[in-house]
Amino acid sequence: MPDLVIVAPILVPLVAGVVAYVAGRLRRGVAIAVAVLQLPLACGLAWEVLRRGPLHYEVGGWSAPLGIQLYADGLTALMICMASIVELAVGVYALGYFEWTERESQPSDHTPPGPSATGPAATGTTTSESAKRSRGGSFWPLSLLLAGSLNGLFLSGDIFNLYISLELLTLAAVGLIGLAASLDALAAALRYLLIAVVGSLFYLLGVSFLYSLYGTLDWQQLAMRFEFDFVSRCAIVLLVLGLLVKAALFPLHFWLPAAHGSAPSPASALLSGLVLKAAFFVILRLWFEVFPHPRLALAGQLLGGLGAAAILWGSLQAIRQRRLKLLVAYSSVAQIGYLFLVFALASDPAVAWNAWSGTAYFMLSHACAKSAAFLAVGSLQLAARGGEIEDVTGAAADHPVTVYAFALAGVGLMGLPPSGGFVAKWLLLRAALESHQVGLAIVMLAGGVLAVGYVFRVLGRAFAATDGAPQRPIPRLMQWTPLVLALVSVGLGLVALQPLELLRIGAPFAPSSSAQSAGLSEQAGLGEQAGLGEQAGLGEQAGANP
Amino acid sequence: MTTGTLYALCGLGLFGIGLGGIILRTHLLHKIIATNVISSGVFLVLVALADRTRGGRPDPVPHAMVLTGIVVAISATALALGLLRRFYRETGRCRLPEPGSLAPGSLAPGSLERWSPERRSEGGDAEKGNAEKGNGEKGNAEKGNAEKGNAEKGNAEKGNGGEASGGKGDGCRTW
Repeated sequence: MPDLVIVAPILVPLVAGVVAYVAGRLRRGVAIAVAVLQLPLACGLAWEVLRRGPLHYEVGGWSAPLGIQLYADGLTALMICMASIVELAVGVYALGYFEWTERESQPSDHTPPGPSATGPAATGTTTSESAKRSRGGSFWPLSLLLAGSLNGLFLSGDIFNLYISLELLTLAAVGLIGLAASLDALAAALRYLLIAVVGSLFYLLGVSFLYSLYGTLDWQQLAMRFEFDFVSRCAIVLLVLGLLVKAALFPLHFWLPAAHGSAPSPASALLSGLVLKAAFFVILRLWFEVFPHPRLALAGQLLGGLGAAAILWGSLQAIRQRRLKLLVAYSSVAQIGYLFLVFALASDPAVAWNAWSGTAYFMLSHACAKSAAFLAVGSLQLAARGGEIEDVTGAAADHPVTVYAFALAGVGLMGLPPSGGFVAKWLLLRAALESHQVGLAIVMLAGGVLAVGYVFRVLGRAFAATDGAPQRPIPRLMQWTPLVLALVSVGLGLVALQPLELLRIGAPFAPSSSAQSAGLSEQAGLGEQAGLGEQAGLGEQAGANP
Repeated sequence: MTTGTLYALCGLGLFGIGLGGIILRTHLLHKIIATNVISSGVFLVLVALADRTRGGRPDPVPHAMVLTGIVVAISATALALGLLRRFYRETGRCRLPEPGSLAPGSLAPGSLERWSPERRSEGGDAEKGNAEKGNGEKGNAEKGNAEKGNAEKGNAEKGNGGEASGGKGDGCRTW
């Protein structure tokens, strides 16, 4: 049973993805059923982790280094819960979205494509009628494969398996971008594929360096053997550089707006909400649990500085955009910046727990808020027949639910209380102030103010009076799913204690004694450290035996 | 220097060559080949790693990694080639829009659409220079599109136009 808990989140969506390819008309049903099933599976994993601590599993009974190691701790469980929530919401939304876009595109197949046909899914030339019809259908297997590779990535216990799941994730993501029937999307998909493949190869070269030095791929064994010599430092640079490209940190974000802005809206939600987080998750894991991070303080400051630059640059660009989806995409560039602040903040051990847990919580709340924003914007775009911000003028009158969903998602992005974004930013801000990195704190606050700017640019238009034609009605599913997801992102602020409790299991840091409930949390932290040490000892023995 | 080190250094060299290719070349087919050169470089490093056991039998783990890596590389290449074919069929081009037009600051609304045939016919000022360059093939393509009003046929013509113009503009035959 415990084995099943850790294997099922990978196996179920991957198998279902393959089944969905051949299932014809049933593929929607298969995909939705799996999306629904994934939620209890993720909760089961979280429960098991809470109950028994970090889980290890050797696939097929083959031990390292030849076998595949799976590992689940609190962070893994939280990420898998995050993925399953977003995937379920996106799946339900996509039911409405693809039915609608396919119905819309049917009559326009026989008219020459022109500037008038500028629906989000209808820009550019379309290949052929049959290709177009199959597009919505391809979403389901691709999203299932994406889900499976994401879970595989979160559960990976070795760095080579991480490479494989990163690549699978890239291939699925490229397929999803390519679903949009526009030249933009095609070019963006190609660019993303080439860049992501090169990023992965950097990562793989780093992996080969580490293997040549330490003779193991298991990251926990690596962590114990890690020495800070020249080749190891080269390996760190290669690994992190490859992943930075995929996580789209500031100077390397150039591919992101086009890719996320031109994909079909449900795909954008998955890409911005989950795929970016996957690459960041790997960096977070490696940095704090494999690399000797206290000796990487300078590099950490550099990453933190780039993160701060990303916050300012991304937000300013978002304010300048005229197209809705590009605005939301640039907002992702900014929000990714917040995640990277942890590398600067956690170099001070006193605030490391706050910074680390705040970052993990930021991933969670941003995934929900950003997906909700993309879904809401997708609905507004279809209703308004255009992707410009101007086009949504007066949308609040016709589509109050969707506009409300966007506003709530905006609350999460700005980090206003009581949203999950607020809790995360609060933790990060406290870490910044307590470690006397006032500059970063100011950037965080400025980022929040700028986020108000871009969210209200859309809301301002939506609430403006208009004398134009009323907007088209959109399916209920496409109105309410973004709202539910936005409510989850706000609700995360109210139930922050449980996820943070989960995060502590197997965390690289324990809450410091300066935390509010000093005595209790310290005790718990000590117990945990002891547990970790014991485990580490066991691992070492196991590693030394062969 | 052992054979293993030599192989590893060659692998690193290939990695560098491929990296240069993907940055310097603009033709998409070159870029795809360059990614394959990079992956060959990484695989060569991995193969050389099997030597790390010093004498005796080679270490099987890097070999397993290379085999898996080859499968991944093939899938990615196939997907890239598929996308490139579709891109070529629809635009008659083998190059992505200028990197400059994708610089963060200038990703103006629809900037990526400007080079699509429909937008081009609107005569965007900014794109004039470019439009003139590619006139040979694009003119034909647009005619085909307007007269037949059939996307499929228009595309086929665009493809032909691209091939016929050879060295001009974004001709895919120019290496």
